[in-house]
Amino acid sequence: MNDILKKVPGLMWGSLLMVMFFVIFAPNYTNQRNIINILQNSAIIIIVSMGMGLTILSGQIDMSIGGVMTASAVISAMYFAHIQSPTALDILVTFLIGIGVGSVFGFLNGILIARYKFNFWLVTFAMMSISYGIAQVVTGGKVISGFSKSFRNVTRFSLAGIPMVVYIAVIVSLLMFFLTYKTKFGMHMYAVGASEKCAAQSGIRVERIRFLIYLLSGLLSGFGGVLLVSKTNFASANVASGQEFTAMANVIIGGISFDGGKGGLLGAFAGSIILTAILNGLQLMGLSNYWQQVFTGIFILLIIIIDVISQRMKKTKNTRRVYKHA
Amino acid sequence: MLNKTIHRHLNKYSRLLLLIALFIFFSIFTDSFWSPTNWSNFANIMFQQAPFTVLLSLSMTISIILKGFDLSMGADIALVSCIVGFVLRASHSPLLAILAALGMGALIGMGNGLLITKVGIQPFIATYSMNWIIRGIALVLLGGSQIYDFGPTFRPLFLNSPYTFFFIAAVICAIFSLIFSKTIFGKYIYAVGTNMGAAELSGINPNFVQFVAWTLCGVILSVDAVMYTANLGVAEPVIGDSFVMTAIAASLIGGTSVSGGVGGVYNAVVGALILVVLTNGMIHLGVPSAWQQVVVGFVIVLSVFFEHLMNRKED
Repeated sequence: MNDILKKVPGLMWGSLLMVMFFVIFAPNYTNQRNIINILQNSAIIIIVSMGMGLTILSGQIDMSIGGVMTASAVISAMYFAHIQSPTALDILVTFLIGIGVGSVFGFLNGILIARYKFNFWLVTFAMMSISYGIAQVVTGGKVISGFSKSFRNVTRFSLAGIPMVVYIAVIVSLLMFFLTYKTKFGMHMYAVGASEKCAAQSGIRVERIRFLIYLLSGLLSGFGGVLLVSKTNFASANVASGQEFTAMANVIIGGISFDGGKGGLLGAFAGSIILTAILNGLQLMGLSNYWQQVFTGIFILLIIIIDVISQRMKKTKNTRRVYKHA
Repeated sequence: MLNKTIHRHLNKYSRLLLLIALFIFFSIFTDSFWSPTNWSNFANIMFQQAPFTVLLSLSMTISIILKGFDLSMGADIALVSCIVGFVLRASHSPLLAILAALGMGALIGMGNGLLITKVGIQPFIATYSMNWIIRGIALVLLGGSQIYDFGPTFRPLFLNSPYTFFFIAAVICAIFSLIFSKTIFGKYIYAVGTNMGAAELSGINPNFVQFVAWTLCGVILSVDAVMYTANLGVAEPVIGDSFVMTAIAASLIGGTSVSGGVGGVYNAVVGALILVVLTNGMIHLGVPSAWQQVVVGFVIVLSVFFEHLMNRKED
């Protein structure tokens, strides 16, 4: 038990303290409906944070997540809105289209970054602009809404009191845990994140690993985009803007550091729920939307500052230890 | 040796050639872009659009030379514009408003600089978080409303002559061109951008250089924000969302290198002109404006691609 507690990153303790604050002071925070609400709201960002977690674990970052989600949401929504009386097959095709759109962006990111060694910040940032632009072109600035009940039920149908989207998030997370903790791919990914050079020299195909990571991140964002349409029942050209920022924060709260190779996706999973709980608390305390944005920003920046400083302190400590032994 | 010189000149002037080629292309294929008898759109580009983009691009170029990207740019301009609006509404004094704007810009720049140098966060993440916070503050300040009441003197100060914006941008470019080429600080910026470790070993304080450079970036942006507010005639918290992409695209296509230490005022100006001509020309060709963001994104990817090719050739 002690070992497990030790593994919980320090940031998470701080964030949990904040959740405790809401448990005590925010009205109706702990009643069943609100807890289910928190779970439901965290489900999609959990899925997306898995992709973000992969890229940050490998020492890079995917800034295009929000844009890719938007493009996938808008394109799949456009397809679905054209169908008169949708069948189960149509819904499946809509989801495949969303996932496909995400995979195309992920593929492009992967090719440019892994194969051609372009600067990953720029490529993913440019891809963010391109995907938002495409969403703008496709919708023409309009909002698409009013989907059939069967499509909405994919995420909203309640099984044992808990909406489907939560189950989907848990299943996707379990798959991702298996992928990162139990497979060769996962081990190689950690190696690449810790040191690309070492990984390459020990025979790991770094290019392939990086490519797969971006492909997966795009695929998960695409999936998240369609789920978002099904959950919120509308799609517009800025439906998921800023999600990459939230995902980044979830991942950092969960103890994955920007240095790469440190932490695990389980942390990203927990971090997503905790941050959603905090945002939900702010909302219940009656903060306006604008203040919420300021608070989220400051909170996330603080998390990042604490992470960066603690990583640096760890590094100096380790160096000192080396000198002492010498 | 000779080959290398030719290569370098080609690299330097290829952007100018691209600009001229784009200009000729749009002049031929559209009726309204430019013709020897129709200078109105040309004047529009030079005096109404380019000055703003040039300043954005200059600020971004400085941050890219230091291996950082300023993603807080759009929010920065929105917040400064709101401050300008507030001060004008309260006092109707352009001087106070401009001073407040410069102060706010410098403050935001310092904030970025501190996060990057003292805390040691990667510039991308630091400025992205700042973007979020600053935009939030601007929204809290104005809460979705707008300020129109600028008093009788502020807008005429900028709009009486059509050349004012051009003049201001030209003066700022001249000042920075001097800073880059003639002062020690300019040399320090390139040294830190090229190799921070080496710069530190040769006695430069990289943190100080970066801090001052980021502050200057903030000041340039605040000038841009003042001009923008005067031109638009309204202060609102939602402007400037697409500015970051435009600025990155302009600096990169101007030849500023992602790997740091390469670039300058010339690159910023040529890049900004290329981007302005491209977006303006596309509208004259009849491309819907929704495509602009897609094109700007592609311009970024393409310029990174060309830099990649050039570097490979040099190796």
